[in-house]
Order: sequence, then structure tokens, then C-alpha cells
Amino acid sequence: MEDEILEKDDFWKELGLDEINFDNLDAVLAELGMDGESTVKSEADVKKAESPVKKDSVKKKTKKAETAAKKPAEKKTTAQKKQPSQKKKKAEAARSDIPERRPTVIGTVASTAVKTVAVVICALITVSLLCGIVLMSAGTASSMNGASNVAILDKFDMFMTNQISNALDGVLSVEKVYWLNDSDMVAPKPKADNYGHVSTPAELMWLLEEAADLIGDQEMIFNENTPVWVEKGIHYYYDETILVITWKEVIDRVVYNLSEVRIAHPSQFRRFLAGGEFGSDKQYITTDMASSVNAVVASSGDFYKYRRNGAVVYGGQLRRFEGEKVDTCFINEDGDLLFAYRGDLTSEEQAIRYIEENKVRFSLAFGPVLVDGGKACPPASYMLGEIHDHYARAAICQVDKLHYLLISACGEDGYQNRHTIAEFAANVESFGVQKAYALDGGQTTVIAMDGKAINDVEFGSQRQISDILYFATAMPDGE
Amino acid sequence: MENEIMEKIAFISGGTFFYWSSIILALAVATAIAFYMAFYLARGGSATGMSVAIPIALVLSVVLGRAAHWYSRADAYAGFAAAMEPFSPGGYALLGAFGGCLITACLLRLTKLIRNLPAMLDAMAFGGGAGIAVGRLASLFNASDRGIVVADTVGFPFAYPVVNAVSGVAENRLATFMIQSMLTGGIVIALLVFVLVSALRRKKVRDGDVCLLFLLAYGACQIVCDSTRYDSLFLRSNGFISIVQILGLVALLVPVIIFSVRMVRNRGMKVWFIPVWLATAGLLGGAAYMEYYVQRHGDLAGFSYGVMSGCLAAVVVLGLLMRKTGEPRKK
Repeated sequence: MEDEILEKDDFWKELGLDEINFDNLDAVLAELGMDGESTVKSEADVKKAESPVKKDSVKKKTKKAETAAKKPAEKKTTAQKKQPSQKKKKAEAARSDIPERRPTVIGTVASTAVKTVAVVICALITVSLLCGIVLMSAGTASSMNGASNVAILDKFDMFMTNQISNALDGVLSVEKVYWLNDSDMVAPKPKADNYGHVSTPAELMWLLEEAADLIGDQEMIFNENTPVWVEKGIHYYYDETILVITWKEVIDRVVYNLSEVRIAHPSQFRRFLAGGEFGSDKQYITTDMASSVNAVVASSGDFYKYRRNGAVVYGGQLRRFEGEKVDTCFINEDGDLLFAYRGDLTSEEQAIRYIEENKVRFSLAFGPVLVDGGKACPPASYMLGEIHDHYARAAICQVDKLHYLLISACGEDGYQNRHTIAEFAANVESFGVQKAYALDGGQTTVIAMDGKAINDVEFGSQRQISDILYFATAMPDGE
Repeated sequence: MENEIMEKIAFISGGTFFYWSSIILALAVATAIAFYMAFYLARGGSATGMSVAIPIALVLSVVLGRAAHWYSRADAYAGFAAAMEPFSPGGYALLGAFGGCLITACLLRLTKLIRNLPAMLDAMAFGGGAGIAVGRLASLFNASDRGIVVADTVGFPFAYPVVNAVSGVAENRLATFMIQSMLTGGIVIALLVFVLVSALRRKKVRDGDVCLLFLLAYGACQIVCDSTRYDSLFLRSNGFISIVQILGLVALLVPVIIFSVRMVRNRGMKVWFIPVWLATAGLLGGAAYMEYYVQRHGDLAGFSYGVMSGCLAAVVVLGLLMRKTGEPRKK
């Protein structure tokens, strides 16, 4: 029998393996003696190949070859799995019947043109926006407005009146009148020499005599029998337009800081909002605000920025109305406290009408009303101020016409009790005030005089707040 | 009125005053755009997508900035419509810029003008940081640097006199905006160094990581800086909780959470992860307590802010540790 010579390609075809790529299969098959090279086979080998047993072994070897061939392929498949999908995509593209689209010249040019136009347009928009940013903040030369004109004329009027009084001094008695404009951000600076400090009420009786013209026939709360906390002394300020006496009393182991104020004109009772405008973000401590506006004495206000309650009036205008749930205290052009209890004003229109009819200058929105008509009237429930808890308390009271009392009740030194609103109201009533309205208490509570806090502040540090109310001198600088 | 007193005028054209602060603001925006473009193009971003993003982000930033300012200062505006009128007087909140950029990036991704959202956010983080670092320098030319009053012994650049708009008296105030400018500039430089060193080591920085690292560091800085301001933007419902501090906390938490997820995904759950997370939560709680403490004890501001800064710095370090731990292991 002639030796069969199997060509390599024919060998693979015999096995049906001619389409599979095996890089190292040749080497494997070479080891097995099945490398497909031209081989002279002996007759015995041929017979072996033809016999079923031999056929089986060939089959087994074929299977082995297939297995050996598959393993690298499997490994490759696993390795190929870790590679990015680009090869997959290329293989898919290769198998795909759809031929690859090659970019045309027109397409490229069009795409580039569109992109260029888009970029240019975006650049132009960006430049114009940048110019807009500069213009947004640009200012214009301001012209005098009507309000400024009125304020200047008002000051001129006061100046002329007082100059006439000076000129006619000794001939005709013309009373000098000093007042402030609400549009004035800062009041005249109090004279440092007019501040004073004494230890006992008896040492201050001369002041009450000197201020008799200002006090008139009204009765002062402070007198020589006032139970003053002597160790802390009494602070005072006096000029022709304002008298302030500040002292401390201990009631039920709570320190009451009282500042009695008598002013000559309602415009000296003022309100200041941090930043000088309604809605400002700025917050300052009470003493800083008091100093910045030249207050003779000031109290922390209602912290209007912290909560949205009540009717907030500033500069004679209603700024915010949420008046149904809290009592509001309005201050009119006569300097009188007017109360609107919660629910009295139910709409913005109603509030505006009330403000116009009563010529309200500004308002306070905290509460509750503590004393009305000389009688304590604390509510059983109130949404602000934790009225049943023991906290530092503050209040603005009206004793008589242009006659006020600022009160704060907090702890100091060995006296660390606090009062509920009901207890506070009862003590406020005992001072003989006609009206009293609670202000924001707790750490907010501060009475400031001559740049210093009169009371001991809760936690030892003043809180930054949004507003104060204060009393200023109307005596112009230099007089 | 306040602007006319406090703002330094650069030049006058006709009847219009052009202030230094507005010029620097425009310069800051240009800086932000330049950094953004440079970084985005260097990472192989689409020029078209990049260009379209700029005007959209600018417009959205201005609109959202005004809307955020109106929300906190509604009393200063006649209404929402009045606040949103073009060129109407009023302020802008910087947080609007962050919102504008994020929305822009998402819009572009949704419309498929860009393919890689994290890469765009990385570029915006770079640009935003550079812009903030330059923009806050405008405070040198106006009275906007509203930090707490500090002793006269503290000088420039940490404090300088700011004229009180009401009294006209100069007050020595903490230069919050200057500090913010320096801190943000430092963050941008640190990120630049990080990206360059990674490039030199042929180590690919995962897309989005630059943005996350920026948020981590900037959020921590803003929580402290905003606390020192006396004109923070507060929630309407509560005048003590600052919006910027809340968003700063969110900016701090998002990267921490993402890095934590990566840690668990790449390393499996390890026992020592728990004390790390607890420590992070504890440090954030400590910072929150110091915020309450400084509101009560304003006279101990130095101590309070020192502890707060330390806590937040530790959170940043833990965040970086989590990121490092969450990197895939090399085989």
C-alpha cells in the first residue's frame, strides 16, 4: 500500500477545522504526531487508522486536539471579554452586511461649519452677558428726590424757628423746638458730659428738679423711694430734649433693669433696622446698632427678620402683614403706643387703612400685650415667646404722653430666676404703666446705654439681631 | 444709596458709574470660563458642547442666584416678579452659580451634546473655583466683606476696615471674602497639582473625582466662612439656619457617601470602615455643635471657629482616605 501523504490543509479539512484560527494548535498537534506535515505512513499505521479502534483513538485524539484548540480560544475569549468593546464592534461591523459609511467632504464641511457657527454665537452671547454683568452693578448719578427735599426744608424750618428764638431772647419768649426726621438714619450725637452715674436715688433728686420743664406735671416712676439695687448704681442722661434714668431692682430674685425716658418730641422715639433698610440681611448686636445711630438708650426689638409674624410698619408704610396670630404694637406720630390684638386686623387692606387713619410711623411685632389701660392682661396662650416658660423678658411701656419705660428682666450675679409672661406682666403693672408690650426675650434681651449693655446678657454674649428701638436726643450737634 | 457711598468707582462714562467691584466680577467670570475651557478641552471634551454650556450656565446662574436671594430676602423685594426683572436692583446668591452649572451640565447630557457628564462637572469645578477665588477680591473695593467685628490688632488680609453704611464709621471686620478667596484659590491649586501629578504618573483620574474633591473641600470651607458673616442667607422658617451652611454640608456628604460606596464595592465590607464612618459623623456633629456654641457665645468666636475648622478638616481627610481606599486594586 502506498503511504498516504496528507497535506496540511487537507488535514484540517478532514477534521472540519479549517476555518478556526489556532495559533498554537500546530505545536500541540506536533507533539501528538498529528501536525499535518507530509508524512510517510506505514501500512500498519494506515490499518490502524482504518480500524474502528484506531478510528476511535483518532477520534479521541481529534477530540483532544479540538479541546486543546478550544482552551486557548476560551482563554482568549475570557481575555477578550476584558478588552474594550471596540473589537466587538469591529467584528460586528465586519460581519455586518451594511458597508461602513465614510465621511464625505460635504458632510465634514457642513459639520465643521455648524460647529463653528455655534461656537461663535455662544462666544458672542457670553461676551454680551459679561458686559451685562458689568452694567448690572453700574450706578447712576442720583438726583434729589421729593423726600430729601422735604427733609431739608423741615430742618431749615426748625433752624429758623430756633434762630428767631435766639434773636428775640430777652424781648420775646419763643420756645425752642427740636425734632428729628424719620428719614434721618442717624440722630444727633449725645454729649458725653451729659451722661452720669450715682449710687442712690437721693443723689439724683437735683436732676429731677433740673428737668422739671421737660417732665412737666407728669409723675416719674423713679423717685427717692425707689428700691434700687444700690451696688449697681443709677445711670442717667439729660439735655433739654431728653431725660433718661436707668436703674436695677430685684423682684422675686429676678433682676429688673428699668430705663425711664421722658422726651420732648415724638420723633425722638425711633426704630432702627440693621443695615438701615427693611429686609436687610445684616445683623448686629444691640450695642453696636445703638452706637451707630447715636441712641441715648436703646432696647433690642422684635427681631423681625427671624420670624414672619404680625404687621410690620416702617417709615409709615406697611412692609409685611401676617397679623392674625400675634398682637402688634403701633407707634403713631404722637409717640403713643396703639395695640392691635391678634385677629383685629385680618387683611392687608384693613391694616393699611388702620395705619393711615392713626398715622402710624412704625410698629413692633412680637407681643403679647402685657398691660393695657393700666391693667395686666397676659393671654393664656400665645404662639411666640414660650410664655409659660421661665425666660429673660423685655418690654416697652408707656407711662404717659412722651413718657416711656424700657424693662428687661433677667438674671445677674446671684439672682438667677426668670419669669413667665404672666409673672412679668404682673410686675410690669406694679410700676404704674398704662401700656406695656412684650419684646423678644431670651438672649435677645439687651438694654444699651452709652455704648454698653445695662443688663446681664443671657449666655454672656449678645446675639446679633435685626433691629432695635431707641430714644435719641433732638439737640443738634454743636448746640 | 449704599453702593454710591461704599463702592469705589473705576471710571465714569456719561452719567453711569462703573465700579471696580463689577469689573472684577466680570473678570472672575472670564477666569472661570477660561479655566473651564482649558480643563475640558485638555480632557478631550467636545468644543461644541463646551461652548453651548457657557451662556446657558451664565444665564441660569444669574437667574438662580437672584431667585435664591429673593427667597431669603423676600422683604427686600416687591415680589418675585419684581425681583426677577432684568437689571432690577438687588443681590445675588453665589449658590445660584452652582445650581446653574449643574443644571446646564445635566441639560447638555440629556440632549446628548456631551457624552461625559462627570468630565464636564470636573471642568466646571475648576472653572467655578477659579472664578470664586478671583471674584471675592471685589470685596477690596466695596463694603461687602461682612464678617464679624474683630480687634484692631488683626490686620490685612484677615481683617480690614469696612465703613458702616449707617454711621459712616470704619469697623475692623474679619475679611471673610478675602479668606474665602484664598481658601478657594488654594483648593484649585491643590486640584491642579493633583491632576498634574496623576498625569505624570500616568494614573488616570476617574471622571467626576475632581468635582467631588472640590465639593468636599469647598463645602467644608463654606460652612465655617458663612458662619462668620453677619449677612448670611437664612431659611424663611428659621432665622438661625443658614442656607449656605446646609448646602455646604450636602457638598461635604455627597463625596463622602460616593467614596464610601466605592470602598465597599471594591474592597468588600471591612470592619474598620464602621469606625471611620462613625468618626465622620461625630466630627460633623462636633462642627454643628460649635456652630450652635458660637451663636450663643459670640465672644468665644476664635475658639469656636478653631474647633469647627478642625472637625471639618478631619472630615475632609477622612473623605480623602475613603477615596484612596475605594480605588480599584491593581492586578
